[in-house]
Amino acid sequence: METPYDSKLTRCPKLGDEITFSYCLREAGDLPCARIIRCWQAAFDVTALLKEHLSDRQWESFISTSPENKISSLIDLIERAQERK
Amino acid sequence: MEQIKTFLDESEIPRQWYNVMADLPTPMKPPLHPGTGQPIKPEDMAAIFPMNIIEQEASTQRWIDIPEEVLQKYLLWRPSPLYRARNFEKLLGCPVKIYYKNEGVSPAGSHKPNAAIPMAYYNKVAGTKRITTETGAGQWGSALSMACQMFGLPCRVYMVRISYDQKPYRRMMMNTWGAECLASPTNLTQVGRNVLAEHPDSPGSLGIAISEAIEDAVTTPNTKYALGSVLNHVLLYQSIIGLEAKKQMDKLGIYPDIVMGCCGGGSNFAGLALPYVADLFTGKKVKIVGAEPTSCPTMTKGPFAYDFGDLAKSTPLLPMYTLGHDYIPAPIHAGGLRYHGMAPIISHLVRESFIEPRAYDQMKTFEAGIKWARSEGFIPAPETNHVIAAVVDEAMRAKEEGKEKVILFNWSGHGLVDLSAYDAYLSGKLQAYELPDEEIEKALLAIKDFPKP
Repeated sequence: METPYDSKLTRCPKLGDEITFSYCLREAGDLPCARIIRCWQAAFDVTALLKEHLSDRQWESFISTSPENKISSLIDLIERAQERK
Repeated sequence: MEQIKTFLDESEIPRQWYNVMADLPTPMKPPLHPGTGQPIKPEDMAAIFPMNIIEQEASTQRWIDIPEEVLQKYLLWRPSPLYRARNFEKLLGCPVKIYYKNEGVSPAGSHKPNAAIPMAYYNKVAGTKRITTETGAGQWGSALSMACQMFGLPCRVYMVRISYDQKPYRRMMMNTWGAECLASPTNLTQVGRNVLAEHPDSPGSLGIAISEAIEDAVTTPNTKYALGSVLNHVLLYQSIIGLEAKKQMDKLGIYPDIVMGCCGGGSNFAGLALPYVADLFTGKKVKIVGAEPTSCPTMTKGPFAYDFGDLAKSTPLLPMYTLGHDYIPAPIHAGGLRYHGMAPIISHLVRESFIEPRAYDQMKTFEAGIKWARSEGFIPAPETNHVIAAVVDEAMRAKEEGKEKVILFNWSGHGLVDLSAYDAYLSGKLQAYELPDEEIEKALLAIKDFPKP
């Protein structure tokens, strides 16, 4: 997905680094970073942009993803790693 | 001559960490196993953490002894000085006394070694031979690299590629301290190989880096993983900041009206705040504020109104500063510290109203950080600028109310390795934004029929 905002710069609170909007759009692979609206909405209407550019499935997946408890997510990662062992 | 710094003698360093889990008025819900839905058992985490750390993660013991070997390493820079920001006070011209714990004096330049050192130590005594971790721009990775070197443990850091390329100095710090720092995704793990197969030019993400570090720990004998924020044991180790501050404030005969910190994952904020939260539980009066990043201007532009508390509009209506859920989905501007990677203890204390969350946009935080650097001299880490912005707000409020206040905050680290962030700000690359009034009015239509608080 290409947008007019791709080269705009912000500071990423997750990385502690300056990154462009194009990075936020693909931070989670197929999906944008979970923080993208929070980080960018003041600069432009990112909600409308995402609704326009994401497929219905992607949008639903994006808005329905709720952050997991950290310990639970670690357990999940451990089990997936053990399966790959 | 006016006093600036308050020191503790090395012999006065706290000998125990404070564990807030012992004193929570309402218990926290246990984390659940994602597969079984049952509370997680200690052995579930044994693949990545040694048992001594797992026991601390689950501990409800109020005071936990700091091992002598850890104290000895802490003494390299601890007890950290308590400063009075007299020049910043003069600049603001408000009726406030501003004190701050300078955690930028650690060898890694931040509060992170407070947790990295005990983690390396406990792994060493548990028989761990090697440690892995992930890092973004490298603050945690560099702290752990130093700590592992101190205890003779090899350390591998999976650093998110975009930061690996953009932020070479912390990578060099890690290398200098003897750690192996790799750009994630790598071809050393299955997770990394899968990502690279699909996106050969992947810039990486924290999610990928953490998956790689955990896979490495799980699949390599005698290897464990270390996480630098969020978890209970990390907050426990950081409590030395607040315990020292209390002793230093006692020396001055002062008790703060407001205790503040910046909140990313919660570790530096918790480090200063939790020993004061303990005072709140016993009825002492102190306001505790966590400052976090947002770009959203709701605190200044949006009214306090009822709106939905989650994106699916499935929660009851909650009172919040809002621009309406159609403009910015409610949890994003209202959730604050309650969501998105925040330490569960901090989220719990916010829900129970012991901690007040505040959100600040990056422009306001850099403006505050520049003011700080030009008055106090020290250049703050960009994250630290969030709490400085909150300090400015509290000082202005004190002026409006005509009340004298004592503010204590955690100056969590210096920004000497983050000067590119200042460059981006000073050269106008980070953009300011003023929400047009007509856009606000349009957004608020979504909640016009909701009840008013």
